[in-house]
Amino acid sequence: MNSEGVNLSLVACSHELKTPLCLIRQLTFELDQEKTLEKQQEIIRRIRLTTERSLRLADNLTKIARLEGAMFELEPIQINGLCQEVVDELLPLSRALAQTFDIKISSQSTVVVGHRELLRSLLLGLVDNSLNYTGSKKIRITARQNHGETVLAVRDFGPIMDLSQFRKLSAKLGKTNAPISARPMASSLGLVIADKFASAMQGRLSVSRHHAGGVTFRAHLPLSSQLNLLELA
Amino acid sequence: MSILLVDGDKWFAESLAATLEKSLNESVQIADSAEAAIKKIDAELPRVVLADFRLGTKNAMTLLNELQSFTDTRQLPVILLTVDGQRLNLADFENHGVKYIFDKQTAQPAEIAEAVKNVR
Repeated sequence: MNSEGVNLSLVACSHELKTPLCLIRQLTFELDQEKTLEKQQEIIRRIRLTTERSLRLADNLTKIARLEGAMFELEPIQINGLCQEVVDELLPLSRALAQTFDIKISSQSTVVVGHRELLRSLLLGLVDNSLNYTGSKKIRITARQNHGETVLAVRDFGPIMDLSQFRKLSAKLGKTNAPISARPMASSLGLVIADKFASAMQGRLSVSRHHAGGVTFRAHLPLSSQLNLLELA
Repeated sequence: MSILLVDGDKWFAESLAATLEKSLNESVQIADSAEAAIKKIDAELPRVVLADFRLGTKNAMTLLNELQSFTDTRQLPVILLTVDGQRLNLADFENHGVKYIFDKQTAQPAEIAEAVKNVR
């Protein structure tokens, strides 16, 4: 990564971390004022969930710093199990935001070759991004085979993304040194991270927007045909 | 409606609304986007609009321009909230009805409440 890339990413990281930190700060002001125990407990729960989200971001930043020049041992990974792990981790946050998950994995796309921790972080980044910034009531996670790759998709049903924003985002995906500003309300560090993790596994990210509202982020990952044949046998 | 708070961060909006309601004893309505804010303003004119600069898929300029384009909303006082306080200059927004800009990183709820209370 060149120095410009590092600086730009640091700006994005700093900006993304400010949002949950400002929220935690505001929640503490509210907690100071609140007298009822039930409401106090709800505020504390929100502080905890927001802190955990910030910690996930910080943890992923450490992983990104270690990506440079690193060699990864790739392994077959069961997509179903991985999706379930991610959903389980984000379930408390999704419940607090009144959002549900819908997972659909095609029978031909049960195994992908990748680095387990990176793939998990990639999926966490995509789902977390959808959960926090869309106002969507549902997040759909799907996996299917397409032209020799496994496509892992995370769709939200939030507002329609502006065309200008969509074009800006599409142009930046896959350029690992460029920060991704997906939506003005988010500096989208989760997407920056997901993009870098996909690249590290010889994959890529893409995005499409929907007339009915919401966007789909897709991670295109190398498919192991042999492993899938074994799986189906 | 007395105060309209426009912020895409649901938890932040709910929390600030709760602190303002307690401090000012005025009702605070929440909108999560510029479009939702405009609908609420069309239904009932608030005394003041408190808006995060980053709003949904647009920024607050969409809302400010919309408010300036109608005679009945042109005089509506607006207070902006931002996490980029140092990058926003009040003088650049005064023609759009903005009376104060608060940085979410440093502003005390009491300061925001005082501004909301006194703004004209």
